[in-house]
Amino acid sequence: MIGSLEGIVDRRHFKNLDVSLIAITAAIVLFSCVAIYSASRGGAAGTGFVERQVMWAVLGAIAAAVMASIDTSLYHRYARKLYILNILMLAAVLVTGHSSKGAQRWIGFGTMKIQPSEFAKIILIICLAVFFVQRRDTLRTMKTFVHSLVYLGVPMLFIFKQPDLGTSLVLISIWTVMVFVMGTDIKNLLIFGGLGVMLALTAWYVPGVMKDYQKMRIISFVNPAADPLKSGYHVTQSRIAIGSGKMAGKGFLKGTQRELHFIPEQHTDFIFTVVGEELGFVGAAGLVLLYFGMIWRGLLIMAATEDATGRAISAGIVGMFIFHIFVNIGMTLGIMPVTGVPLPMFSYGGSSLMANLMAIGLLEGVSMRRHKINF
Amino acid sequence: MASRQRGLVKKRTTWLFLLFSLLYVAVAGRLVYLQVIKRDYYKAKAERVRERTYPVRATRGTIYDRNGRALAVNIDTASVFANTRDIRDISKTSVRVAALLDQDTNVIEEKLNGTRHFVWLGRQLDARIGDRIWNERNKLPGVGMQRDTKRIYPAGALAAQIVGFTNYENQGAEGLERVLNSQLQGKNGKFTAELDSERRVIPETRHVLKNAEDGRDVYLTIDMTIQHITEQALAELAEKYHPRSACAVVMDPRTGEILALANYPTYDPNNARKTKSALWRNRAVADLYEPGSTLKTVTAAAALNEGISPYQVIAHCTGREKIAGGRVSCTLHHPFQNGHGGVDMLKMIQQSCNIGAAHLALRLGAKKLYSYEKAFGLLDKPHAGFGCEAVGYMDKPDQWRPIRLANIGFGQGMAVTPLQMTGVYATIANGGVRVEPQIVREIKNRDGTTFRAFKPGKATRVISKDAAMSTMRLLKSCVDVGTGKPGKIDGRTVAGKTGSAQVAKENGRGYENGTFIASFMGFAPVMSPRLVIAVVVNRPQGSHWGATVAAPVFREIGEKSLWYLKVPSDTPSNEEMRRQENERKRLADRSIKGFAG
Repeated sequence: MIGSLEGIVDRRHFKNLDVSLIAITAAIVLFSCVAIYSASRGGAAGTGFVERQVMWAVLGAIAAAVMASIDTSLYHRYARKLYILNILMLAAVLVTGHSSKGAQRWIGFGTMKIQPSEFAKIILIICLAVFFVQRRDTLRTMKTFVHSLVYLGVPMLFIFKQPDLGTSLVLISIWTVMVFVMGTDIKNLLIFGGLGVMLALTAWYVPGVMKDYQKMRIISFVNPAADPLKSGYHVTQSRIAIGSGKMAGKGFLKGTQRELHFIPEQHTDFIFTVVGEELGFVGAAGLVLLYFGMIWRGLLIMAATEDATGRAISAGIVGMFIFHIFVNIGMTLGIMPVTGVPLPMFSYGGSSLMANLMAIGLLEGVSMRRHKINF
Repeated sequence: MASRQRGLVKKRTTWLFLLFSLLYVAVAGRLVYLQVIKRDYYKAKAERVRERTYPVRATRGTIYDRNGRALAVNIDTASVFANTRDIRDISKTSVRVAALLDQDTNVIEEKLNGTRHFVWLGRQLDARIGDRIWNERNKLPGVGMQRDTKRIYPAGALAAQIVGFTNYENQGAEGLERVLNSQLQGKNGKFTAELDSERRVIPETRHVLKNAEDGRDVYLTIDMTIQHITEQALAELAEKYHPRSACAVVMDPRTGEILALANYPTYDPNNARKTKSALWRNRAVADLYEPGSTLKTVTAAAALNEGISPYQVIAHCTGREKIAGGRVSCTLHHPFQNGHGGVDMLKMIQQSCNIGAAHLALRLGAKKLYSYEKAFGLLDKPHAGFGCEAVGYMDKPDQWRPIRLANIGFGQGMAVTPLQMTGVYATIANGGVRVEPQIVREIKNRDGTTFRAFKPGKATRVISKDAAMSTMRLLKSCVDVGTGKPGKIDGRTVAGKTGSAQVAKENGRGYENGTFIASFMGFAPVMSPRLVIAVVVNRPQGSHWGATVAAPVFREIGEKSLWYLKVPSDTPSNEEMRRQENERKRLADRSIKGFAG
């Protein structure tokens, strides 16, 4: 198999560039800048959010182009090193990281702070893809299934320890979709699911495994009235903000609940409430549709590619996005518990935006190389 | 192989798409539910979140003296609080707030770092501090200010135990502030207002739903001038005799109105929380003591009412005597070093003869004496309006051993309050008719109309007018020629009685050694009494005689108060007497000279 050399894209590949995916992504990013502008206005956290977000978007676009140009064969060569690098990076967070709001998730490079767990997701998708492709023949067996779980588990534990329950669950989601698409035996997944439920129950009842605030979030999700001023506060307030937006919304920059900062983390995790309140059902449904389009394109790329590694990568990315979108929006709508999972390419956050754009770049790369090109 | 693989991928992709679509249906459905179906519910809820209801604070009523001079008023203040969750930079906020509040930065920081989300940083501060906080509200997120009023007592310590004080919530905590709280506090109204992002009221959005009903004003029977005279007299006494405590009551016997009621030591209600709570106690009303000789007046009045002549010899006093299985002794002064000799009621009161009083009590009998003690109001709780009145203590007469009866005749072995004793002398002064003492004169609505006017309390005849007149004569002679001489007021006729009672031990067994309660009670002018004055001094040092310690206080209060009330002089003053004497001498000299010439 002769692929293109590193960093060089064959002209024929552009034929299969997914333009609509790029368009949808651009629309989401632009939309997000508008929403962040509103959410951070006169706000508690300071100014310059939009500017920084645009800067990260530009950096992310470059990173996406780089990702798109890399041939998947390269990953096979460097998978092991990437995996170790990933773990080292996550370990560094635990040792030297900055903490904010009870979690240690950032490491600093000069004045910049990055959140390695965001990039860890991308790296893990690549590594898992290589892992599955290399074990293609034994994929259906329980042994490989468990092996892949351990492979996933090591970096995941580091993230869980930060603590970042949301991202840990994202990793599980990535792995589940990948293992499913790559063709594991459904029985394996069912057994895993059963064990997962049991594990969750144990985690809930054995003291010390879950932090109290994590438990409270779940309790308040089930019954927000149990503690309306603390954990249930976010849930209730975000529902009120979205609901009061009605069909057409209160108008851009006219959201009263947004204006009064009744919702915390408005420019990050709860940004969907700003859209829901100010742009109403029309705006919110529009955004949801954009995401639908994005996933749709992802699924198409996944189904169309002839390259197994590319397919695995697409599956991981689709799994990641589905989880992010559903959990984040579901959380603001009160159908999912509050976990600190950002809305991809929409919530404010440089690392997250860059990592997600890299994921889009990866998808484009897979799309372009869907046919094996022989010279 | 490859085609099988392709088929599997297609199948799995389809499943994934179906699962994903299902999730999407859930999200979309929820969105429709919130924004389309329940939109009005959430819109209303959003408004409710922003709009809050707050009380419109009612202004607390003012407390005035009988002439409309203020004893308790309100001033505008501000209370500063913090919602710690909304604070962004605790150390920076602490520094600024500490500067504005003129407090220690560390103290503020400690409060902000505490576990509570809501903390008071300063309460009832100068209103200007509140304005400064409000002006900087945008620089101080999480810090808020609430306008408030604070009670101040412009007369300071004057009548402190009567008026009392309020707590931070402007609710009465002590004294009449507490007892009349429901009258003074008024009813809070209600207003709604929107909140800004720091959950502070936006003033422009205030919307009053219900106006506050301000509290009523209370007018006391106290006359601030007489109160001041009384407190001044107690302070001078304290300087000289350093008593543990002292109190004085000044009352108008005709109406029962208390014109002054003072306790020493006292406190400033403006800083009440920094003083010992023992000082807040209105001891003249709430504390019992053994009245001693001042109670002989009751024994005498009872006997006179029973028809015993004041000039009939009732005992022969040798200074000490075994009576009814106990020992009764008299304090003997010149010229009675060997006993008071043959004692009639006049001498008993004049010279304060215990043996005479004991015999008189035995002659009256327990039942009769008890019924008079009761009629004079010593065994019933006074309803003067202080809310803390104590009631005198005395065993039931059928349990009295004869010695107890003898002792009660001269005021030992029982306990009463100074206020109750004042009532006894007021009854005599009032011609035998008892009037319930009272402290509140009128309660007025804010618009000036009378809500409740207190008329003189229920009047009950205790002894006949003749008996009262006779008792008055006895008391007058006590001041004119007897032990009460130091209580004499220049240019006034005065009736009064001294008392130097032993202090019962806390455990009720016997008396403390060498400690006394010195007292003097009386009224003036005798023929139409305007003031009843009672002075009780607890454990004075240097002297324990009622005549030495308490009578001068009585004189001081009486002299100044009668002058202030413009009560005409009813007997020649010393100066007048001297002038007349000189005139007589001059005339005599002239006539002698003339004769000689």
